Amino acid sequence: MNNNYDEPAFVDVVAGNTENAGGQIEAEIRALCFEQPFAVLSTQDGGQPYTNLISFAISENLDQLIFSTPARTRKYNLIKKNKKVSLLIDNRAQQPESINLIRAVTITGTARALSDPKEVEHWSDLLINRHNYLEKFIKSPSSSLILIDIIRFFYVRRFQEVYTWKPVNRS
Amino acid sequence: METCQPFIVFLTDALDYPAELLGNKARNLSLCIKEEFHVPPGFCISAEGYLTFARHNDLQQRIDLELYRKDFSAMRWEEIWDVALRIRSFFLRSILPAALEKEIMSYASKWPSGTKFAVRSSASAEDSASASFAGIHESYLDISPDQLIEKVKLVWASLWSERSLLYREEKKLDSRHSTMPVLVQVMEPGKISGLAFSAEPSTGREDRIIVELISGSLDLLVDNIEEPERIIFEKDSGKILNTDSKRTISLLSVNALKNLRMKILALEKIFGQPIDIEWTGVEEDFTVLQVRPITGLASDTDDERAWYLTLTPGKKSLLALTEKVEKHLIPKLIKEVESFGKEGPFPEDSELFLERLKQRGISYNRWKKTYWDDFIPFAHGIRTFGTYYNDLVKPDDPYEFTLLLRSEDLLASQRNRKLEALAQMLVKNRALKKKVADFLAGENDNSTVQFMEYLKAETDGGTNFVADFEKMLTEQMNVYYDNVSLADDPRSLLKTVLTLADSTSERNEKPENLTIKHKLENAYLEKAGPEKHDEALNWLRIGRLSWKLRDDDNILLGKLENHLYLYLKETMARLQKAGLAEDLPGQIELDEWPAVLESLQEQKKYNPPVSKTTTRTKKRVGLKPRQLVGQPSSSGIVTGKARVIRSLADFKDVANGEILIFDAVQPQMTFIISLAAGIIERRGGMLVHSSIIARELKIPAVNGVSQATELIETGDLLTLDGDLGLVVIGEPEFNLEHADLQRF
Repeated sequence: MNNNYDEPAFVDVVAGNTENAGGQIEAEIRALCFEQPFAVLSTQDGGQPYTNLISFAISENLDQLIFSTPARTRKYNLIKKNKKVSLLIDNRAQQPESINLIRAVTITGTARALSDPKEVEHWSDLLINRHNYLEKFIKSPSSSLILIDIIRFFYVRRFQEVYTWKPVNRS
Repeated sequence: METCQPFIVFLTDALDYPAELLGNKARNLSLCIKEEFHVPPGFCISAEGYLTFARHNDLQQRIDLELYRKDFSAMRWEEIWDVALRIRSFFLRSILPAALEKEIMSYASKWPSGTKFAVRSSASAEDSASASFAGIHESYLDISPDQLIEKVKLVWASLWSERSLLYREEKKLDSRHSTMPVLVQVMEPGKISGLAFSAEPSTGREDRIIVELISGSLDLLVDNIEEPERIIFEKDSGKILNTDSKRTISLLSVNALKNLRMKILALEKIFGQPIDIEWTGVEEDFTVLQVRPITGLASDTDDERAWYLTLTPGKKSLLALTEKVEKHLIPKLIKEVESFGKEGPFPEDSELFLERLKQRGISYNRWKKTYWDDFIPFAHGIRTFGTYYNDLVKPDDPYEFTLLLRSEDLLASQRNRKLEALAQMLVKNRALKKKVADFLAGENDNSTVQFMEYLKAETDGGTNFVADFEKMLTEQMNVYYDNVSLADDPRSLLKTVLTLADSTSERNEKPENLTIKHKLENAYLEKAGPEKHDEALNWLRIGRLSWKLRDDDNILLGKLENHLYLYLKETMARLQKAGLAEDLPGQIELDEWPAVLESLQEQKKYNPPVSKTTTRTKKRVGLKPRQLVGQPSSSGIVTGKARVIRSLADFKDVANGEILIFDAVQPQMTFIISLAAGIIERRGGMLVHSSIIARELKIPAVNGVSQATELIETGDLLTLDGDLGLVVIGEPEFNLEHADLQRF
């Protein structure tokens, strides 16, 4: 609406720039997922949630995420029983002073253990590339690679601003 | 302990400590004392004192929550002012750690009882080489020891005032780690005071000394209350180049002037660069109040005073402005609107027609300027009253004062009551209401005018309704807005009346508001006591007047513009008839009046400007806002369907109980708000028009939501939380991912 009279603004935000806003959010999600080495993984069984800290790597188009776990762990067994998982990635370690500067993304998805040798090779390379100090652990015969197909991102910034975002090839 | 920095240092010792601890102002004065200049004695509360107070009250976290809840660059000036008010309120209501308070009072007691103090900022970043912060932070004069702690808190709080925040933003200084040492000095008012610059700030000439002086204390000069005598010296020879021609006798003798110049030169030598001095007393009484290096020579002129400082006139200039706006400008504006109205139909005579068009155009230009020059600064009266109220009452809610501002005789309220009365006519006359509903639902081509004729002839009570409706159009909707006249679309107005009639909710001002208003007013005046009673009453009056005129001026200007609009429309019609213009435009921009006038006058073709259509970008695939953050402008929680209002044309679609999303709500169109279950606005501020109306009608509202009209779409299910300032988009509860899981 047009109006001749309006109180002055410092920098008035120009309405209509959703393109930039969208691009900005996507860029922030991407930055967080590539900067942070660790995530909190949530699994469940019989209504009981269970959380772990994991080292992960994410695919370039943000639709899949990989981590490694010994096959005898609780999380491995829980995933076998129920593939629905959730992850939390955040930068709170870098922002101890301000709740408004903390950024966090909650990811929902489904997890499966990889067995196909080609898939194993591809994803272990990606994970080792990100965490090369874990090479021995990842390549150990007792470890299993778990691939998460990402459904959605719930991105939170400035304490209470929330967006949902889906990787482009998810519909 | 990470530190054993002192809380307090005597001014005489300030030079022994770093600027981060005591600020440059204190150190500069300490240097003057060391060089045997007289400086009013006192002490400095260090940055450590400030930080201890802040930690004791978790102030840094509170500031952080307020200041960074939105991107700072996305905050409007008003929102920044709001943030500053909330922070100021935290400071006022916070308590000093006992040890710190005891130490301050113990230092103050080193001077005889009855001593008055000046309390000034000495912020760590102040008076540095790149930023002077002149006039940015608060200082308080003539403070008795019992007021000392409160004033120290207010000086601390001014580190977070809107002007301080904007200044740091402008200078790219870090706000997050700013601290505020405070100077407490004995008041020593001299008979003559002034400013001195050992270089000319406006030109950067270093071969000149500029002195400004007045009789009395310095604050009269700094606050622009008194016009100073101004003297320019040639620096080396001492020759007086220019004295104030208006004064026949100088305030100072030739010898006193000579002595003053020597003092300035001596001080400049100590600092090794051009300086700016605040001083009081002459010759043996010469006292340095403040001295600092001049920053930004030749760029720090008054002409370039930051725009945000012009928005906050001081108390004295606000009083003068009140007089001007209330007694002269508003009556003049009303008179002008009325006299245009009395001129009757468009004259056939083309010369007379052109003359009237021109009169309206010139009037429009003049009042538009007045709006920016006088009305906008006058709106600060609301804030000045609010700050005064908060200092006196110290309420839990820093916006409690707005409950005292409401006024039944706002032009917008009068209009809304008349609209409500029309709706009531429909409620009481079911036959009439049905006919109106059928007409609006129908696809028939009957114009509203024809329908009105039919209503008058065929329906009981139709004549009265039509008469009042037409009166509504001509007397209340004769307002230009959104490039049209509100009276242009009677059908849409009729629809609004019908929707109002269908609404079951109470829209009238809640009666308890009045009781609250009276209670608060009594408590406020009681707090002021007999001594401050008149002062308190006056600020309340200015606050109310400021609020009323800020709402009314938009409507009055809209009416004035409407007179120009009608003539422009007629001009376009005449041009078209003469084959000098294309199709009649649906919308007319008023600033086009000189071009339109010229075309008609000279009978030449009129080419309208290329319209500035704003293209809305497509929503990004995959991204959905789930929760947006704004300012909590009116309390309450509501869930409802969204209706995005992009133009006046959207008004006719508004249904009862929808949550309306606006870019900016103006008094010209606030009548639609009565229908809303909630309001969301992109423009932010606790004192913008929609906030006050929403609070009066008890409609939950959130404003300052960046890109509100872009990120939200008509039909979205919204939950609006007016207490936390949140907007949730989508079902309040939602099943996470079942639909998506079917893919796997």
